[in-house]
Amino acid sequence: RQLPGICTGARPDYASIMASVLSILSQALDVDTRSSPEQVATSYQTVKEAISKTKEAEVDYVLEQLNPMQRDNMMKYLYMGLSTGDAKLCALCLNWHERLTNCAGHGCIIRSLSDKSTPLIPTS
Amino acid sequence: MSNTLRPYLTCVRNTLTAALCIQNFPCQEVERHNKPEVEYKTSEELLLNSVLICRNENEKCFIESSINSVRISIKVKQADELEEIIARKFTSFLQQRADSFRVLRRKPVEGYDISFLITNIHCEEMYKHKIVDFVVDFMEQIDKEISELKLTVNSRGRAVATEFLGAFT
Repeated sequence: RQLPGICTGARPDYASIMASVLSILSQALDVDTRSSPEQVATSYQTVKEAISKTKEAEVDYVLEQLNPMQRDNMMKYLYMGLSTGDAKLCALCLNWHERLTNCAGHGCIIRSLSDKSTPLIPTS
Repeated sequence: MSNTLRPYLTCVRNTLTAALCIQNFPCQEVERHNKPEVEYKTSEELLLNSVLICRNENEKCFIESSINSVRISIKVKQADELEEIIARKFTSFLQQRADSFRVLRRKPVEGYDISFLITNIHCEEMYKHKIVDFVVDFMEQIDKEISELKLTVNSRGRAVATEFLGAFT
């Protein structure tokens, strides 16, 4: 019988996560969301791709490695993703939203709500 | 499909807990008036970013927050015409009795099925976490209620038809 990974001691391969998803994500999340809309749009696309590539077990690790500024930006992009209504993307974003709130707390949510220069429902 | 229900409700719960940071704020434009700013939307600085949380194309939750009030609009899942009719009847039944719910809005926001309006007075009189519990429980239960109603409609229709047409055989 297949035991779950945590019992067999299988751990996410931190080195490969660092190399791929985390570095792309950190770069995209370093972009100030108050900058030009095109930059925000490109970062949004990058974040979307990065979260769909991350494995289930690695999500918590990835979120812990982000600094507070990046977590706030991440929350904004998650809300932008949730507003689209696409079932697959929303399922992903809902999962990440739960993990990110556990990690960063409600303050992260309220900071994304109060940043008026970044609308959380993209109008385009 | 139900595997996104729990994350969806958790997301709404967390967002609501964060967005319900409201306080008393008398109207800036008119003396001695105290209005829920989210309904009027006259001043930009009093409003927070509104958030649309979609579970899929058919189910979504729109949360608008301001300094003294929060408006939550919900679109419930309606798979076919019968469910649409049932949902409409059910929500209008609740909305006509909005006074006893206190946080319910008599008319839903454009594009949604039902809306809640929570003001600072509600937060003063009631526990904030209980208000959030109420809204999230409502979202969870309304789907069950509508499917139950649909089942009873179908079984009643079947019973009536059998009785009626049995007279002709």
